[in-house]
Amino acid sequence: MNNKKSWGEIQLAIAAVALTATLGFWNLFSAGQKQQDTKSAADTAVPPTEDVAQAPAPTPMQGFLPVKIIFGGNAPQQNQNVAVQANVPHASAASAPRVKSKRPKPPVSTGSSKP
Amino acid sequence: MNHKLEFKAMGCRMIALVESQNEPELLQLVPLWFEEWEQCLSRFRPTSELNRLNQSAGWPMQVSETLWQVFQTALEAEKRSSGLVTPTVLRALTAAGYDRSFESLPRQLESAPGGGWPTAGALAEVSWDAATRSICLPLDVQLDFGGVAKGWAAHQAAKRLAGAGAALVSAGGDIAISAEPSPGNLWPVGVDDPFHPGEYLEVLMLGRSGVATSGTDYRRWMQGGRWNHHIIDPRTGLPAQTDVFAATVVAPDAMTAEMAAKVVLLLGSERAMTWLNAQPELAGLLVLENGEQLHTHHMEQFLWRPS
Repeated sequence: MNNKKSWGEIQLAIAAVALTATLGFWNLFSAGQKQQDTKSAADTAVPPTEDVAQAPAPTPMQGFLPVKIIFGGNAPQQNQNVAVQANVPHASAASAPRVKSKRPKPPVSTGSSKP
Repeated sequence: MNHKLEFKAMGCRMIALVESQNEPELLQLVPLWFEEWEQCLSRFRPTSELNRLNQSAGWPMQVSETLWQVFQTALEAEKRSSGLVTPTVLRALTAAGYDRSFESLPRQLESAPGGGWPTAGALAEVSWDAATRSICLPLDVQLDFGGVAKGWAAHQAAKRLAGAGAALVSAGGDIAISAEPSPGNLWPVGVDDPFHPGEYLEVLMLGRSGVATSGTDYRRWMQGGRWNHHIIDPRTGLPAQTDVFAATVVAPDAMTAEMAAKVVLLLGSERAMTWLNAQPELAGLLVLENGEQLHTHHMEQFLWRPS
């Protein structure tokens, strides 16, 4: 019985290690691609104007693995760095094509002694 | 809601705008105000009070409140412009050929151009008494308020209309604005392109302020084979020799804007830019004879730009 029990524990440990390794490598190799995606999202955003502050550059990630591995609960999610311009009301508006405001039609104009 | 009234007065197109829920009754009175002011201030109406004053040279004459106020405005304009904008250029203007209303003035005059009628400092010879509201002109001085009267009239009308709502009054392009049309909004005002009639060089976004344009592009005529215009340089008594074709100035009020636009024309572009930049309450946009455009750094804040 004892042997059976310890074999079951060993199986559980092997499964846990395998799962951990799989998830770890998965995240490790997909991190490069995700950073690439983040970069291209930032590239497609509207170029900053002179008076708009640049978003801070993404900071390097801390620790050996780029993500926390959590047993149970939701599947592991990598924190995504989304470039957001300062002074832009909504991030979605920044990535959408910018609509130029139309020149207002003046009701009056100034000129030299208009007849 | 915007209520608009257009009419002709002082030889120009007048526009009055009021922002209010219902059409204000005051708006219908604006043409009557202008008629009253024109009857008082026009040199083209033989029975005007101004003409009576000019004919009474040598004797003190008690004048109306309107003429008194415009005279005081003209004194202030002369002081601020160091004598460049003066109401004493009437004889020089007449000698240059502008002796009748511009509508009836032939564009080609047969008379030879006169030799000039310098009047710099002539206003110092005029005496007045505020207590009796009387003015005494010397025999060789006659007054013409010209653009000063238009700026003053626009300012007065906007001030009177302000009781009914935010108001904008344009007297032939001299514009007075009593307040912004609604909180956070501004009045768009076009700046006419002197080289392309019907087009705008820029659109200005203005709140409470005055804006005026002075130029040699419209009121000009040919005399003795050369172009003359209505901007007289009091130092020479002749139409100003200048590289500025049109000058637009934004100022705290229409009278100041009108005075400053004329100064810019008389000084020429180089000195005018220095003069304007030294005064934070003035912003200028200049169009030169060669088509070049200049604007002072204070003007940036008023120029409409796509957001």
